[in-house]
Amino acid sequence: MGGYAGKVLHVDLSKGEVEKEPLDLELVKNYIGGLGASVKLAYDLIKPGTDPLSPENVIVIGVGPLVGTLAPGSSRVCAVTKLPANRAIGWAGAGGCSFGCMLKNAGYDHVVIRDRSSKPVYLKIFDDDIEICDAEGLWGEGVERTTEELWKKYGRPTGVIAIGQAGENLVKFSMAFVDRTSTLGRGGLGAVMGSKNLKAIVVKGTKGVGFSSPRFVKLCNELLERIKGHPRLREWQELGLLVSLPALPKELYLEKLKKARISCVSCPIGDKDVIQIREGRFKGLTKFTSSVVNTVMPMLYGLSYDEAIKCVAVLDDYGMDMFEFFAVIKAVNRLYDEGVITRELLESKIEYSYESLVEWAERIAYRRGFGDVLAEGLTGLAERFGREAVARATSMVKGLMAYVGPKGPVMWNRFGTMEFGQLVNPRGPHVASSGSPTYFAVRPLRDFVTHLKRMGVPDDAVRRILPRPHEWSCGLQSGLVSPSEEVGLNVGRLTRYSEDWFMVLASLGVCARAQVNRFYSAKLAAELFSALTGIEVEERELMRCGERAWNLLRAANAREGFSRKDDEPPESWFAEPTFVDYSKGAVRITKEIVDMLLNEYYEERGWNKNGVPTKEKLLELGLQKVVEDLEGLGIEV
Amino acid sequence: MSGDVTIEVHPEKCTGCLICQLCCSLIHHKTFNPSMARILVRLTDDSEIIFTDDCDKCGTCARFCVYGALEVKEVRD
Repeated sequence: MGGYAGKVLHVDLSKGEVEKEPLDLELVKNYIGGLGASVKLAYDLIKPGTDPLSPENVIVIGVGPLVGTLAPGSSRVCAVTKLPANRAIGWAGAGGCSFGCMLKNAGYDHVVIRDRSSKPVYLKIFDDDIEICDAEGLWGEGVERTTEELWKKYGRPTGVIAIGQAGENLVKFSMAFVDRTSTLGRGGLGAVMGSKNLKAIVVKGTKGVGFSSPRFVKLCNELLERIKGHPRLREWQELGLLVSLPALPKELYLEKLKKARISCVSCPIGDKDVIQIREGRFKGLTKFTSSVVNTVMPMLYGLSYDEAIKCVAVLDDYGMDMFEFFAVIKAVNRLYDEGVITRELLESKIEYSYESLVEWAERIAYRRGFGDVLAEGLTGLAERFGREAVARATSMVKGLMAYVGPKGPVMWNRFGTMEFGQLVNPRGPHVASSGSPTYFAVRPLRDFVTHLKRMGVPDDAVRRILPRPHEWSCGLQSGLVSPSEEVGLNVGRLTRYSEDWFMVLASLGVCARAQVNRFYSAKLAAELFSALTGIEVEERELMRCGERAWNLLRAANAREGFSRKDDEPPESWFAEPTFVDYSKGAVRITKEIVDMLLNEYYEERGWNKNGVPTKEKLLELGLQKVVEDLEGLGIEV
Repeated sequence: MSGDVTIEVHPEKCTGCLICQLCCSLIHHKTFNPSMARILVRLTDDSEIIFTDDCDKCGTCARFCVYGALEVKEVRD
């Protein structure tokens, strides 16, 4: 079978044992692979109620069938685990740099990591040579040094997933980093690895990836040619994400920062950055990052561009999520202002200066002093000082900050799928899974039809997503559509298909970034999958696999106690400045509008009013056992 | 097609996408396997691109390169 390595590698860190299990054909037929299959493996392996930082938690890593092939932008690495920041079963995904390709070449589609080592280790996967190696010499090191040391020892293009000190010290918002560039696991994957004493995973392989039909090569060629011929390709290659998110002036980037651009394997866009500071106190600092846009985010807090980059370099090296870091600081300061955090606990508010921020980063990473309190994240602050006080201070959803909004840090006030998706994502706010043409741009609604067709959305759903005014009474009442308009945009209903499409792409192994995945359609994805694997599927079936995996992820979280109450919008969204409607930018987004969109989203999904998949939907997706699991726990389906 | 071109290398333009290695192994071994490629991109701070002794300069890698790091320079008679 082309595309798949054909094996799942099970690693028990406590016993020091590894086992290679043949990849189940039913698993890939129902869930494709990559993220979808990882969700299924995690659903079966993580018992409801598991403490995320206990040995019982499991990390499932997966690469989809396209990973390691010539299909453009197919390097995605996914992980599923129970996240310590909010106790949700969460997906994680990253541009896999060389990790994804190397894992597949080593002969594995998935790695399942269980239990806990008694001492620091790293996992070495070199073809059939699997070894749990002593990591005493790496423990205590940052992401950068850990990765570099492993490359020094094993050469490149060895793929490395590593954690820094934040993960080691179980900081609830620590992440893992792929090839010291891409972030993996907002919500605490780093801490889960740390709790298992797992410092890193290093992979290299020589086995190759096969294909079932020469048609696969033809399709890849045609796709690459189409991308090569795109008029904006050079601009994307030159500027990366700065094209859509102009976080700093182009001239500053080109003249004072840009050193090189880097790609994940098979990516024709290459929108990851190597930047180097040319002047000032941080002259010579070189930073590898998934985008220069991320590194300058602290400029919002008054830092200069070079201070911002250095600050993010420090956070990344500790292996800490920048967004949550700033969220906890903001929350602490607000609690201080309100007198909830007293001077006995904290001498003064946290300053937004470079020196203060890196000092607090260190305190958090090593859990020193009051840094230990911040290391528990927004959920920890809420448990200690009261949920309402923390909720007033920041835009919290499922214990994490919803980072796109009119009050920043990613400043954007049109209420599109990414913004709404921050509420309903089962893993907590993360915008990657709900992309659409609403992504940081105001586009005419007629453009949406092409996008919807590309995702294989059925005609009846297209009419619900772009309803005529008289067909959408709630839209008329709320002002989201006016009688004079031809159609409106129902963001709630659209989000369902964005998520399913994201799940298909992530399960195949295609990048989450629109610059690459805009060239894919459900029809092409089905053709590529069929030609690669020899399993013939139609686009509708492939989309059904995505829907199945998303429903299973939702069910996994329903099993953990999540429901509509956890999809509620943060109160801070309704204080000025608020979101405004996507298409006109004229209607304030109120709590009532969000509630209405939640209802419509659930309805489009076939979920009940409490946000739980209905029995009917689960049976339609062939998830009989999930019905039994949920009913067994007394959850209404 | 073998031996009919020379390939000019501009390592500073290389982003490490390994498309060259993937298509090389595809042409010569009918598989996607970077370790079997006759062109090797050494990912370091300054990428280095080398050809193995058995490279027959078929030019496939350069034709696939999206970044201008490999360029088919001259077609021989």
